[in-house]
Formats: sequence, structure tokens, C-alpha cells
Amino acid sequence: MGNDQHHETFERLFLPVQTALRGYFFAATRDWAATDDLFQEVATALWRKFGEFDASRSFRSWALGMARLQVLKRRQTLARSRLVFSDDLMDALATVAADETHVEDWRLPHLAACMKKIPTADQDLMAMRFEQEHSLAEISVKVRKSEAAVGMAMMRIRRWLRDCMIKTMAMEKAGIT
Amino acid sequence: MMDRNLEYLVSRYLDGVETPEELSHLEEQALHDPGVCRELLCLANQETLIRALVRETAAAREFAAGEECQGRFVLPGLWRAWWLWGAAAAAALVACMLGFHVWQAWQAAQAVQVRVVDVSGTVAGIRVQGSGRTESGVPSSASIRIDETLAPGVRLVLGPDGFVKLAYADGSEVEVGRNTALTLGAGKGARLFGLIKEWRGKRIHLDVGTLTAWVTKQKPGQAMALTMPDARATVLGTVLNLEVTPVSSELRVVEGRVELVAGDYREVVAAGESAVVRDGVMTKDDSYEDDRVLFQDAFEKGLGSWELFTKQGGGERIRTTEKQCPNIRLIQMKRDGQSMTAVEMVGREAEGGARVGIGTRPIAAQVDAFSLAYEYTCEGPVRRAMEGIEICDFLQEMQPPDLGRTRTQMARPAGEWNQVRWECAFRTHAPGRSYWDTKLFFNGAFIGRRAEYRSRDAPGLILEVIDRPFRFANVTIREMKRKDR
Repeated sequence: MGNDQHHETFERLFLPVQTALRGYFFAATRDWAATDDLFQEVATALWRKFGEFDASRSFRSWALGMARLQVLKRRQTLARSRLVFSDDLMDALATVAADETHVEDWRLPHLAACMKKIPTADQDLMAMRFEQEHSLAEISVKVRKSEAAVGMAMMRIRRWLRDCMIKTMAMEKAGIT
Repeated sequence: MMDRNLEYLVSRYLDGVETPEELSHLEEQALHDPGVCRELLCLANQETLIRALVRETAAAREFAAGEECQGRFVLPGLWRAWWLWGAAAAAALVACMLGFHVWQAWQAAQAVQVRVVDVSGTVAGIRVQGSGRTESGVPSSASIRIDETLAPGVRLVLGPDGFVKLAYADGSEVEVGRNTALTLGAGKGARLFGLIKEWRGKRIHLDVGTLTAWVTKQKPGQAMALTMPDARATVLGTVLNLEVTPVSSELRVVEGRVELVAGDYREVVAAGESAVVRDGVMTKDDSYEDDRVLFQDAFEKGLGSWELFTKQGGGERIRTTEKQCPNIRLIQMKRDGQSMTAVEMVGREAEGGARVGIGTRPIAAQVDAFSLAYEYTCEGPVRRAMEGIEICDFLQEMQPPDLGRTRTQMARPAGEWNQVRWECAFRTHAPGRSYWDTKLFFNGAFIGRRAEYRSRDAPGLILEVIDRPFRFANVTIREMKRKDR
């Protein structure tokens, strides 16, 4: 296999599992910097060892297995507060994430379509949380609401977006646009 | 659909504000149930996508702003015509003011429109005008669809299998239960000396049935009002349940405070409290206290010490009707002169081991209210043992309220005793019809409350459905008496 073809095959397999990998790292660390670092490390490791990958196996399982090892390896260096789950649970999460039938594969266009539908106030809240990376306490000061109220609002937005994405994907599958 | 408690827990975890107890509870649940892992990963995936999208949008916004700056130009010489600028500024100011008011009125109109988020069963929407008929004079009704936007003036009629969930633009949500009829509405107001008419405040008129509302903080002067045939509740931002039967209206407040007005009565109902309006009289929160013991057993010898009536000594299994589960039957058991009604699972469901529960139906038929306290322990998560049970009308009728939530709480470590307490009160409105209200406490903490209107005079409740690794202890059923007010 030529290098270009090798690279193309890797890209074709790697692109669909990116969200699952990032989601796994974020579920483990809740830290965007750590998530980005771990993602970078696992992407490099996957590419480096792609030659050893057995094409008859699931790439997703292989990638998630590698991700699990990466998290365990980094356990010592990550602050305790950042990695709170036990090794057993990290194994369980990797197993579930490896099965694409278990976890919906959200796509950016689905989310983009849904984000447009949420009220401006909620969009502002999302910008504060995800763009400016403010904590709930910081947001609560800015919007003059209690931290609990901001937390509830975040939960409702998450639920709404999730429901919307499920619906959008179902409509897409049914050929309704 | 994700369980609300679990959703709350995962959301708090992702925001990094969970307590150590919440964290260990989440971990414990996730270890026992791949479904919890799945929910956690789904939301974590969603978070990463939101972050990517929000950052992408911000970058595009910055780029567009930069482009706009580069393309800006200035018309030379125009600065000299100061009077022109002045007139333009004044006109712009007037236009801005007018635009602002029109925009505010438009926003108010948007705020009272609802979107159908979820719908199942028979739900008809009827557009009501004037005296309840459309302009053509003929009532028109159509099935309600998901994503449909409903404006004030729409009447929703839900059948026995109907359910609909509505969402306002500000995030407020309303879940409407079966056999319900309500009309969506809006308050009226005016701006700019009456020049601009606007809708001001959400309104729902509930004729009959049940609804649960999660209302976000409302703007001053635009409180949401829920009206019933005999009362009116004003809501600023809270979570509440509302139930209207042909003879009464009941309000239960979960969070926040609601003002309830009925005729000359006016009450502020706070979180955890409820108020009932019946025959024009408002009563706030009946409270009960334990009285005489009706049934008590330490269950040191287990359920096996209770003998079936069908064994030597006579007695027989109580017959179930056609409507009931084919694999569940009621049996009578006795010991030391005491008797109790139990529920036996038969057939396919019994393959994993005998499952039995104590029926409180006979007790419910004798007293207005009772409390039921017991302890249990299990060798594994009970949730698994309970999932295999086929739910049919009969079991649904008898299963503990909020079972879904209780299931989550039941996934406890082996050998640990849990204390459960139910408080069940029954009120009879008319022959053959009753209203029952149940509160559940788990390990001393209040878990939830559910009230339901029934057309049966003796509602039943299974104490617990148990499997082999499950053990009861210290079961006490007491009659409850209403406290002197």
C-alpha cells in the first residue's frame, strides 16, 4: 500500500470515531485542555501503529482500546480532581463507546441545525460555557441567577439539543428534510 | 428517554459541580448498568460537538467582523450638513423607539406560542374563536404533530392514551396527561398609548385532567397564569403539578411558590405543599400522622414463614379478572392468626425464582390513609431483577408510584439495608371514585409525590416485588390520622 493510500485509509476510518474519542476523553476528564491533549496523543499513536492494525477487526474498538490505555497512562499526571472515575469504570465506558450501536453518532450539521432553534438567551449561555469556558459559578454572577438555576438551564438545553438531534437524525434516515 | 434523576446527575458531573456522594452514586450506577455509561457518553459526545460548533461560530463571527472593517468607507463632505444629520438622527430615534416597541410586542407574541415537543396517543387540537367555534361556525379539529407551533386560542383534547409535551420559547415546559382538555391562551396588553396591542403573559385554562409545568422565571408583569374552572394559579417561575377533576382542582408545587386564588380564598402554595379547591372551598395541604398499627412483622424468618391458604388449612387464591395480568395472581397467606394478601408471579416470570409481594389493597379499602415502612437488602442491584417483569394494566395499577425513580435508588450495594416509607392518603369524592396521594421517602429523604384520580374505591399498592436475593425486614403498616389543623 502506498503512503498516500495508507493515509487515506486511516483518515476514512479515523474521521467517524473522532467524536466518540473526544467524548470518551471529556467524560473521563471534564477538561477541554486534557481532552485535546489526549485526543492528540491517541491520534498520533493510532497513526504510528496503524501498520499493525488488523483490518478484519473494528477500527472503533481498536481506537477506543488505545484511548483507554492513554487515559490510564495519563492517570498519574492528571490532577486527581480531573480524573475521578475508577479504572473499572473507564474500562466500562470504553467498552460501551466502542460499540457504535450503543452510542448515537452525532454529527456537527445535526447540532448546528438544532442550535439555531434555541432561544438567544440559551445561546448566550452556551457561548459563556463553551466559548469563554466559564464555570457555572462565573456564569451565575454574569446572568444574575443562582448557580443551581444556571445548572438546571444547562441541563434543559442539553436535553433539548439531544432530543432535537435524535429527531433530526430520524428524519434524515426517513428521507424527510 | 433518560431518567430525570440520572440526567440531573450526569449534567452536574459534566459541569463539574457534583458532590462526592453524587459522584459515587453515578459511578456505582454506571458500573452496574451499561445504559448509564451510554447516557454519559452520549452527553459527553454532545458536549464536544457543542464546543466545536460554538468555537467555529465565534471564529466565523470574528472573521466577518474583520471583513466588515476592511470594507468600511466614509462619504466626504457630508459632515458639513449637520442639520441633515440631526434630522436623520431624530428620525432614527423615533424609528428605533417604534421598532423597539414593535419588536417587544413581537417578542411577547412569540413568548406565548408553544411548540409541540412530544406527542403520543390521541391528541386533537381545535382552533377556538369567539364562542368556541371557528369563523366558519364549524369546529375544526386536527391531530397535533411534533414541532407544530400552537398559538393562543388552540384547545387541546387528549384521549385516554393521549400525552403531549409543550415547550415555550423561554424554556418553560408543560406536560399534559391523558383525558385532559385545556385551552392555550395569553394575557392582553398595549404599548405606546394603546397604539400597539400585544399579548402579555402565558395562559392555560385547564378544564379537566392533569398537567405538570416547569416554568422558568417570568418577566415582571408577564406572570404565567393557569386557570381552572374554580381557581386561578399565578406562576412566576416554578415546577408544579395541576389536576382538575369534575369535582375539584388540586395544585402541587415542587419548586418555588404559586399564588392560588379561588373565590374569596387566596393562598401562597410553597414547594412541597399542595392545595385543593372543592365545592368552592380551598384547603391547603392535608397533613397526616401515624396512628394504630395495622400490620407488623420483623420478617426474621423470611416470607417462607407465611403459609399459603391453599395448603392444608383451607383458603384459596383470589381470582383475578380478565383485565389483569395472566402471570400475576393474588394469594392469601396466614401465620399466627394474622393474614395478608400477597402477589404471586406465575408462568414465564416465575422461572427466575418465586417473586412475591405484599398487597395493601385490603388495607386501603378499610382506612383513609396509611403509612407503610420497611427495610430491605439485596444481593445485587434490584433493578436487574425488576426489569424482566412484564408490565400490564394490573401491575401498573398496583406498582408503587414513581417506580422508575425508585429503581434508580434501589441499585445499592449488597448487604446494605435501605429504609423505605410510603404515605398513602385516599379521599373519596363520589361513590366509586377516589383520589389518592402518595409520598415516598427513601432512607429518610423525600423522593417524590404522586397523586392520581381513580374510578376505583379501593386502590391497591404492592409493597414490593421481590426475587430470591431480596430480603425484607421490619415491615410496619399503620393507619394515619389527619392532624388537627
